[in-house]
Amino acid sequence: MLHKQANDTNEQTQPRFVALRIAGFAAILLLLLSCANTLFQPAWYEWNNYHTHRGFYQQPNDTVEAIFLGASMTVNGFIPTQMYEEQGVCAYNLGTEIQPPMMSYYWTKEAKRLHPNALKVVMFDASQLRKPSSPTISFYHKAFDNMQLSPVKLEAAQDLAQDPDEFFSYLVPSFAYHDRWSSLNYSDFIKNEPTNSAFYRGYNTTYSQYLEGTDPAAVATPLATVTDNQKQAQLNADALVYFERLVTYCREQNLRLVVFATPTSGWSWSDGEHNAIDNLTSRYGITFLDFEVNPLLDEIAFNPNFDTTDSYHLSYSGAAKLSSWIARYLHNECQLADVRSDPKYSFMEQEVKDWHAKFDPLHGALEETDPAEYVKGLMASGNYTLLITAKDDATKSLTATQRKTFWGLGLTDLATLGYHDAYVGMVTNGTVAYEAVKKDTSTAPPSPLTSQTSPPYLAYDDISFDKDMGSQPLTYETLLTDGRRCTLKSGGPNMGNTSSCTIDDNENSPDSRGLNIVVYDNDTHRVVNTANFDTFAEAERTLADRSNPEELIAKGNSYETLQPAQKSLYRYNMRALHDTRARQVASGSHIPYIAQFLKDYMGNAQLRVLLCAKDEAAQLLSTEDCKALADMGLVQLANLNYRESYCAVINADGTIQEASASDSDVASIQAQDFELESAGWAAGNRAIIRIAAGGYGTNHATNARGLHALVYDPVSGEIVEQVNFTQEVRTRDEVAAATAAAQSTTATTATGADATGATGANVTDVADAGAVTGDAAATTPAQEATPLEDATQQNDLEAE
Amino acid sequence: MSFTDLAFFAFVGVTILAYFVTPKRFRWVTLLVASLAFYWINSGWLLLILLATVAVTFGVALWIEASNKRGKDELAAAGKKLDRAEKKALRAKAKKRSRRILALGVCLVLGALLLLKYYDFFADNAAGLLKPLGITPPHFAFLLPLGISFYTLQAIAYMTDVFRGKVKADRNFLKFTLFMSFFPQIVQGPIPRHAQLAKQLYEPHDFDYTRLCHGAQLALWGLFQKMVIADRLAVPVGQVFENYTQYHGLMLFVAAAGYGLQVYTDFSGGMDVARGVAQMLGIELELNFKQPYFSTSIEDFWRRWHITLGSWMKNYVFYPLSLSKAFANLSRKSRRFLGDFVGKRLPPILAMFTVYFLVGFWHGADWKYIMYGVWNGIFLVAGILLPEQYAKWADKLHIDRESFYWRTFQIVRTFIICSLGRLFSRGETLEAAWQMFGSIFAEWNNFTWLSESTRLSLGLTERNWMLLFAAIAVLVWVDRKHEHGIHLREAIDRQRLPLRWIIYYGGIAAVFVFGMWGPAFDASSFIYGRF
Repeated sequence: MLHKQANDTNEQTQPRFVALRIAGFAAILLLLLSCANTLFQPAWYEWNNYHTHRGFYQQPNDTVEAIFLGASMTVNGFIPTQMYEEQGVCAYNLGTEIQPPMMSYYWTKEAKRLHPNALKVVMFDASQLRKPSSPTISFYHKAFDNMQLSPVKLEAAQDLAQDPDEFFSYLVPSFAYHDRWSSLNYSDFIKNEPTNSAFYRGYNTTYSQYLEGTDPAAVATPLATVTDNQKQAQLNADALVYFERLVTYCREQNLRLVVFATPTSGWSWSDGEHNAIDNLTSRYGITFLDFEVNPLLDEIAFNPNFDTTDSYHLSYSGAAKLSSWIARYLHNECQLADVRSDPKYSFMEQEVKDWHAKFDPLHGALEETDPAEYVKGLMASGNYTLLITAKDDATKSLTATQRKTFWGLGLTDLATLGYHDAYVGMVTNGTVAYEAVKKDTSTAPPSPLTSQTSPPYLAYDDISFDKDMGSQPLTYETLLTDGRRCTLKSGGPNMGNTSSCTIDDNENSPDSRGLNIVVYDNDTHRVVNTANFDTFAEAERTLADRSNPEELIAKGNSYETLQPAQKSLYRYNMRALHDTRARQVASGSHIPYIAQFLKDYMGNAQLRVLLCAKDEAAQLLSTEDCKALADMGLVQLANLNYRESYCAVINADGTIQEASASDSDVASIQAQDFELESAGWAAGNRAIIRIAAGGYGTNHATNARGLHALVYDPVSGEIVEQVNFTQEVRTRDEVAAATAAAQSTTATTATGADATGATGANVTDVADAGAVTGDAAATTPAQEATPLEDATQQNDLEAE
Repeated sequence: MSFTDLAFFAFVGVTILAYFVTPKRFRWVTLLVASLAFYWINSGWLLLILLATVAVTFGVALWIEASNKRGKDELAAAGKKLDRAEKKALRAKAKKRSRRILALGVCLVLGALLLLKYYDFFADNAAGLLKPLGITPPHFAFLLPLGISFYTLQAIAYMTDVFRGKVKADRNFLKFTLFMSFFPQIVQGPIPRHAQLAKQLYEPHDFDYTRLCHGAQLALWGLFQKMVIADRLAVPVGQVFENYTQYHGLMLFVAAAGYGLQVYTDFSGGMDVARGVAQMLGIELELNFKQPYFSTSIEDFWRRWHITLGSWMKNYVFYPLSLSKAFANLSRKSRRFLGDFVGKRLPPILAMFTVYFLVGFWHGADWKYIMYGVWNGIFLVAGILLPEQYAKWADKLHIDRESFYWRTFQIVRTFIICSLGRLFSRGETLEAAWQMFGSIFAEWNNFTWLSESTRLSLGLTERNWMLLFAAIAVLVWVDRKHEHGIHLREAIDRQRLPLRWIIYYGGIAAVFVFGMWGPAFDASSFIYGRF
């Protein structure tokens, strides 16, 4: 024993023994570290980041001719596979969520490293240069972590890191993400890879196909027209540093750099930003394609209701339009060759095939009105999981044919579903994985359902009236193929009346009456479509009508009879139109402003202007004003005396109706859909502007003294602009200053606990101060629009 | 470069490699270069202040030694010519001369500490007094050299030991610089004694695989304490102390106890990293913590907590004071006026109070730290005055003072007293500490702090809380084993290689995964690194 210990001790002092042990220990440690990297690094499937980079590295060397760099608008905006099909251009979308320009620069270098001869064009998203664009560290990681170890990655990590620890954390993901241990779940241990080569070349489809559920008054509109060529916005200084490095690099490498803005970067796109980027690109001799403004906006035939999902990101139809234009541009203007016949690009044929196999059923489903056909189409091909839940009743209008189809697909419980029954079903890769029904036995089904007994998919269980069936919804908890936790809930009116489909605690179900279907893409690990079929009311759903709502109204259809989506589009279009008009008015050089303001709106084919005086509105009018107003036909206003009552309406067809009275009398105009009342100093000292008749609706006139002007669309009731002219605020500049002050006050006040209440208080404050609110978004009816806009923007940013 | 930085691990790796590759006679040079490089990386030009202190200490020690030698030579020369009284006078004269040199040295090194660390504190307190005169002392907010509180005490100890003739003054300035700046201990101690450390540093050590493994294990355990427990505890503790007005009663006590545990794991963890790194190089640093939460009294606690500081205070403050002529006179007079019981105990009580006043003051330039010292001083004095009374009470209550329950009671009692004292050292201000102190006793709120909602509002997720409790359980288990004299590293050594390596990988994984570190974590520096 002693001898053995002595031997051990001797052995342990041998340098070779020590070196071997230390090396062995370190090797195992490195292996474990590598496993930890895989485990801890988040996949970030939501914006395709993972698949974008993984797919990029699977491209054969020296094949990619053009790359797209930018934020989520880029990810949603360009479909390289379509570009290949249409023009034979081999492009790749390397956009990532809120991509920092620094990462665009390094991905360009990486692309050049891998495709040294093929790469010719770099498309750069201008939205990255905006002033507010300050990506947090997570967006650097999202753009960076999947870059393979290379000299470019080392250079980028060195550039990113502030200290050695941070440098290592960029190179070794588990250094950055080890604290994810507390949030790891089963899906982190499963790395599902796509079943085909359809990495979508970086394109990320959105499952919302039009501006559904979004208040059109709260969304941004495309700029469309640049009205002020002098205005210059300040660009983001940090972004400019890397943009300039990118310019230099592209010049050195003989790459053509093209800057673009998608049609939906609207939340902060303005004349100033367009001009600043236009100037910047001109300075470097770079092409700037601004799809926010005409003629490009018109050239792609952008339809704001169907081509964007949230006014920031393009829907599939918007992306298809933009991609088609860009493909032609790359082929014709950038001289990218049509490589479809080049054997080197034969791999693209498989990608195109996979793309169609994956996307055709999905796009077919988007247009499908029949729930059974919808399910059938998605079950037939594509690696999807369908998560089906019923709410309220999903059977009343379900036809025998539909039941038969469900039966044929193996969805036997769904085929035999009864009135008010709860139902959850899961279909994975074309196979029914789970079905469950909870019978509602507390209410009798309506005729004729009870009488149907044959064939089997129409066979109903005997209905026994049972009050004790329990009121809890039917719940099913499971793991998806990638290990994500999914919970389905369904309940008829006696079981909670609910439909829920949560994936990792995120709700996805439309939660509407009938059948709610969530389509989960097993390859990209994302929900790619959600659909509701109100099979209680109708056997098939009605798809949104894509025809032009203005044309429908022009043909005599009333606004009220339009579909919700059409209404939304109409209001959106109105807002877009009037935003442009408002900018034009604001940028005009006519002073005094009041006359120009009224003149610009007068005779607008779709707008009505309401005027109403409070307290004193005569002294603010100069001789020049009075002359201009008289020429316009506003004679009583031109001749208004000190503190007299006055109101007027300028109709869409240009006709004018005025009413005035002495300061002790009331002047009023009442019509079917609006009401004006001006009571002078001695008659109550008030102004009332309502755009609903009969004393109902909000009084849009504030408590401020002066002349209140409200411009609105009489068809939809949408307020376009509201201004209060006073003695102190009469000119364009004064209006602009007052508007800015009002907006600033609104922003400050709206940060309080109750945004709505705070905004209301703010309006009073602004009015009391005699300020003018020159933008509908900052005034009474749209008083809620400012916080709403903020909230929408915030939500979208969070969603990003 | 903190002990928890990757750069530090790389630095240690390179230093160890360089040390054992260097020829034996130059190995101390490798350590010196590494130590100065470490200090330079962390403090830049403040290295010059350290070097100035080293130079002063080195010179003063040589001077003291020369003075001592001169005294001896004079005594030897005079030799037989002098009678006993004359010899005594000559010896006293020589000693006085050396003491003056020592005083000069102490004043210089202590002066640097007082100026750099405490000037603003004195200026703040003097401002009130000087206000009527229209004088406002300026503020300087000096940059504090790394480890100044530690190396100042180290320098004083060295000069005093030379004065007392316990060690010979170093004659090699570079070697002495290594003694003063050895990188594992410069940040937060332990406060070394020349006799214990210097020789180890100067002599070359052979590579020893087992020692290397032991050192690495100790450092890993230190990192576990610091990164898994201390830094995780810092989150809820910080939440309560920084928002103390929102919390009441027992919750504040729990936070104070949590802070005590945080400081322990933070400081003890740092010590273990320092000792582990030194051990890998073949150097044994002094033990600074010996399971302090198993203490049965405050006196016992301070014997186990920050042992090298306690030892320093005992050797260089307590004994010199309590054995001084002034204190002897005081004792004599107080016996005459106050009786034997008090008169006998007054000098040690005063010395004890002085020690703990200084301990508090050493921790920081703030009244709250002074109060922290005083709080401990009160219980230590009680320990001097009341042991007989305690014994009487215990006998009356028929308590078996050797029983497990009594010992447990003593441990819990000590834990409570220590935890309450933490209110002063961690409270945002002295006023805040008092307010919290009052709330603990005045606003009883049962055990609401145990509720899930309260726990989750303190900045840690449920999984983090569970991990924290598990890690504390591991800490208690390890401390208990140490308390019973079981050496875990030796127990690990006895296992077969696969199991041993599994334990190593498990430890590394625990620190790597569960440690609060990395770019996402705003690393709190070692608490004692600030002193």
